[in-house]
Amino acid sequence: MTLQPIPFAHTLDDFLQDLVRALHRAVERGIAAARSDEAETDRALADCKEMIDLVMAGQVDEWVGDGGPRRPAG
Amino acid sequence: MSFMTEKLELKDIQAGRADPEYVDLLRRVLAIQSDCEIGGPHLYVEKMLPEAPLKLDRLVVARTSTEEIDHFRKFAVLAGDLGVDTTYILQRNNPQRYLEAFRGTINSWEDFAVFGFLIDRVGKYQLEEFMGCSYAPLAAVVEHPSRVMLEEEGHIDYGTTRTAELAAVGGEQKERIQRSVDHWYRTGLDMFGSSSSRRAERYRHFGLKRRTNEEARQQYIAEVEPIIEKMGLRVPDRQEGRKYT
Ligand SMILES: [Fe+2]
Ligand SMILES: [Fe+2]
Repeated sequence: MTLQPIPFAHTLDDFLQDLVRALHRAVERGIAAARSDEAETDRALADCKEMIDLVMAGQVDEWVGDGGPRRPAG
Repeated sequence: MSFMTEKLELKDIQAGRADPEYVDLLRRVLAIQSDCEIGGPHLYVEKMLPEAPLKLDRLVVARTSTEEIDHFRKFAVLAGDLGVDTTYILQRNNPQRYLEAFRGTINSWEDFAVFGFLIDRVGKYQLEEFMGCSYAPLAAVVEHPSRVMLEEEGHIDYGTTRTAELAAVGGEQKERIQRSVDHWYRTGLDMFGSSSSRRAERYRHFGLKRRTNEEARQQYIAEVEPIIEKMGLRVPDRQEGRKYT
């Protein structure tokens, strides 16, 4: 059996890894501010929501650029 | 039955040194695992990120979602190397998810808590199957020291603690958490699959899983039921509403 690896698999992996790191930073920021600065916690939560929503939308072709998943023809 | 003990790397598969049935099963199990990882946040993030009781709880929802996205990433890249385009997994709607548990939405804090307590715990069992498995890159994701396993334990602990707290409130609150336990326990037991699954046997044959579905289910029951009792909750009927036994 021969296999063709998915050409954008590692670009997708890098994109998600960067996003996960940014998300962890936003969560930490929110936790650090939770007792003292409610507005900062709200901003951190809004940042988290924006990034998570991006992943939930799953627009892989926008994340990986050229060589991304084939769109259905037509 | 003979069991495969050899360890394969990606290059072995690329060189055609693996049984085609093995490659099929491996691609399948990686796609399913990816689906289950990303299926979690798709269930709860929309409602629970804005509506969890405290801001700290909302941050925990964000962190849990982050970790599941990272788990997805780790399995999806292995699938991608084997020619599985996981785009459809990132884009499909909840009703299309592979497992029943991920096909609805989580709209209450009780369900979020119990999902961590019971369903992430099934997730831990699924991941344990890959420890020492015959595909080395997959085994590496879950073998010590494994961030995925540690994070999964964190989800389970958080869910278990919140469930116990909500049960301890008593009254109407206890009834609500009981209903969530009833629902998710049944769903969790079904997640182990059919006891007579031929495919499960093939996974074992090829060293891609360690336990039979029924062995894993029985271990889960033995782990979970004493915890439910200790919370002062009723252990749900194991047969009621079940799809797979
Ligand atoms: Fe996970
Ligand atoms: Fe989890």
